[in-house]
Amino acid sequence: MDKEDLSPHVDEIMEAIGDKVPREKISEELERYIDVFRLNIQTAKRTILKKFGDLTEEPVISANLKKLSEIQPGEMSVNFVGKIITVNDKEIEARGEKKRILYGLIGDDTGTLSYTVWDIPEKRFDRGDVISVRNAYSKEYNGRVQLNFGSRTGIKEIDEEIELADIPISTPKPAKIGEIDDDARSVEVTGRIVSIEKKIISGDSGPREIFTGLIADETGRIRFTSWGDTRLKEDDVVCISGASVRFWRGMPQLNFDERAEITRVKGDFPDAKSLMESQIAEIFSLNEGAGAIDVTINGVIMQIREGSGLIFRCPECKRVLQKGSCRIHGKVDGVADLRVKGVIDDGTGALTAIINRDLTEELIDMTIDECIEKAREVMDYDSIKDILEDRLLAQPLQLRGNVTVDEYGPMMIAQSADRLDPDIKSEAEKLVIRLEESE
Amino acid sequence: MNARELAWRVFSKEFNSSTLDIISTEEKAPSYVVTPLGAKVNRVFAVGVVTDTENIGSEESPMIRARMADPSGSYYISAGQFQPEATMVLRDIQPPEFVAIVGKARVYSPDESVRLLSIRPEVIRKCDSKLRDYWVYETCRMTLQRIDIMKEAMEMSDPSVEELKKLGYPDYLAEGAAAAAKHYENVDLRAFEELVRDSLREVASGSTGEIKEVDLEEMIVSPEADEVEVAEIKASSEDQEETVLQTIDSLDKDGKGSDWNEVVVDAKRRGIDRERLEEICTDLMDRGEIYEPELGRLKRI
Repeated sequence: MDKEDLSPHVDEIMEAIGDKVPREKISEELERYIDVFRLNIQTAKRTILKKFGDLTEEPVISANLKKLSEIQPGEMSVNFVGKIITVNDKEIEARGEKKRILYGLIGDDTGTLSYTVWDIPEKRFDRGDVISVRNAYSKEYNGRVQLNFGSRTGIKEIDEEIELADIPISTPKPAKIGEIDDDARSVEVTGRIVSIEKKIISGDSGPREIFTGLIADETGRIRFTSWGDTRLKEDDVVCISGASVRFWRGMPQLNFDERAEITRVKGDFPDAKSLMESQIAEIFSLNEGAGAIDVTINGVIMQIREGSGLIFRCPECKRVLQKGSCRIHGKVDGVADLRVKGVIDDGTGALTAIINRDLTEELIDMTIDECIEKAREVMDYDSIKDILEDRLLAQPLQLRGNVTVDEYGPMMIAQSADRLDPDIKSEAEKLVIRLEESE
Repeated sequence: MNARELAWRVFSKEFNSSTLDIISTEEKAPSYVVTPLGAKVNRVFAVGVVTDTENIGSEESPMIRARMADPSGSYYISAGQFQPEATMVLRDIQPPEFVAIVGKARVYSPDESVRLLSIRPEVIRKCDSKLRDYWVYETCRMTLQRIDIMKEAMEMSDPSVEELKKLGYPDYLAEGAAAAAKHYENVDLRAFEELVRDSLREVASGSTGEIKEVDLEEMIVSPEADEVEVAEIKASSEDQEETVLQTIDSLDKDGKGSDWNEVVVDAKRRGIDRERLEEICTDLMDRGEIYEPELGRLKRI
C-alpha cells in the first residue's frame, strides 16, 4: 500500500488517541504493521489503537460530542450520547462466516437514527439504556444517515437521563412530483395514476396485499406503494395527502396506506400518454437529485467499461461468471449474454448506462450468435468488447430508462437505445436565426 | 460523490486562452483549467481535423504530439507511454483526418512566460464530418450557455456561485463562471458570439468539411511544444512582435487598418505562422498596441 493511501487512516488514529503521540510515529508504526507484518488495515489500526490509546477507559472529550441531527453520512469517527430506543439481533453471513449483529434505533433530544453493531460488546446494552459512543462511523442508507459501531468503536453505558426529541407529526407538504427530494418526508401530491398492479408479499404476519405503480404530474413521475387497498385505479386523478417519501438507491418513492387522505380530483389534467412522454433530461440534473423514472438523455459514449461484450451467466442465478464459475453455484455451463456498460456524457454530466442484449444487438448490427462465432474465430471472447468500442465509442446516442444514483453518480438501465442522428444542418440554421433575432 | 468528471465541449480558442488553474492540494482530487467563459475543465470531448503529428519519442517508446483543428484554432494533443492505445491510433493517422477525442486538460508551463495547454487523450477515434458537425453544433449551443452566464457574472459586483444559482444556473456552470468572472478582466464575449455564429453558419451551409488546400498549408506547421522550441520562441518573441507591428503598419494603405488575411500571408512570409500570429496579436491587443477598427482589420494605436 502506498504511503499516501495510509494518511486518512493515520488521521483517524490521531483523532482517536489525541495528540499524545507524534503523527510521524503513528504513520511509521502503521506502515510497519502493514508492510512488514502484512496485517490488514483494520487489524493494524486496532493494534495501534490498543497500544497507544485506551479505548474504553478514557472519558469522552465533550467538545467532540455531536448531536444526532448533526451527524452527516460518511463521517469516519463520530462521538455522541444517545438513548437506545430499540435493539434487535440477527444472524448474518459476512464473507462466508456466520456472525451476529445488533441493530435498532437510537435517539437524543435532536432526533433518532438507526444503528448497527458489527462487534457485539461483552456487556450488551438494552432498551432504555443511555450509552456514550466513541469512534462510530456513519453511512448513507436509503437516503438516511445510518450509524455503524465497528471493532474500534467504544460503547459505554452511562448513568444519565436524556430526553428524546418529540417525533414531529408534520403536516404533509404539497409538492410537485418532479421536485420531491431528500428534504421531503410527508407530502401531498396530485397526479394521475399511470399504472398500478397488485402484489402479494410475505410479511411477518403472513402474506400481505400491496399495490405498486406510477403516479405522474406535468413535472415528473414517481413510483408508489400503497400498503393496503386504497381502491386506486389506473387513470384516476387523485390528491394523496400524507404519503411518506422513501429513497431506494437514490430514487424517491411514495409510500402510503389507508390512513392517507385520498381524494379524487375533477377538472382538466394531462392524459397518461402526454405525461409519460419523456423529456430530454440533462445529466447534471440527475446527478444533483434523487434519480428518476423513465428519462431520456442524449449523449456521447465516452468509454466502454470492463464487463462489456460477451459475458456468461450462471444458469441458476444469472450472476456473471468469473473464469467459468459462479460465486454461488461453482462450476457451471454459462449462458451467453451480451451487454454494454458504457459511460454516456452530454456535456453537463456523465452517467453509466447498462444496455442489454437486444438493444446492443441493434446498436452494433450483430446478433449474439454472430458475436460468439466471431469470438471463436479469433479465439478471444474479449474481442467483442473491441467491436463494441469500434462501433460505439464517441458516437452520440439517445437512451431512455430509469436512473438511480449512488456514490459513483447516476446509473441508467436502458429501456431503449438508439443512435442519435439529428438533422444538424437545420438545427444549426434554427439556432443562427434565433441568435440574429435576439440581436 | 465520486461521480465522473464531465467532458466539456469547448472550442480550442476558449480552451487555449485559459489562464486560471484550480490545482487540487488533496491527493487524487481532480485539477481544473477554468476558461474565460467559465468552463471548469478537467476533461474535454472534441472533434476536429488532425493536421499534423510528430513523434518526439523513439520508435520503441513513441511520444506523439499532434494538432487538431476546429473552427476556432487548434487543440494540441500529446500522448505517450501512459496512453498506449491513443498513442498507437495517433501514430497511424495520416493527416488530415477527422478525429474524435476524449481526454484530460494539461497545462505545460516551464516558467511564467510560457503556457501551453494540451489534451492528454483517453480515447481517440477516427470519425467523419458528420460527427464533426454534430460536435460543432453542440459546442456552439453550450458556448452560448456559457456566454449567457458570463454576462450575468460579469455584471455582479462580487460574482458568486450562490448568486448565479439563484438565477437558475446549475452548479456545474455556476462554479466556473464565478471563478472566471473574478479572474479574467473584460472577457470579449462578442468575439465568442461571433465565433459561435460563424461556426453555426458553416454547419448550416452544409460545407462538407473538406479542407481546402490553402488552409492546409497554413495549418501544417510542426508543434512547437518542444522545450527547445519554446525557448526559441521566447527569445524571438519580442522581435516577432516588432515584425507584426511593422506588417500591420505597412499593409494599412487607407488608414482604416490592414486586412487580417493579408497580415496572415505577410507574417507567414516572415516566418510567423498563423497560430503564433494570433497569439501575438492577442497580446498586442491586450496591451493596447493595436485594435480592431472593424472586424477583420487591425490597426496600430
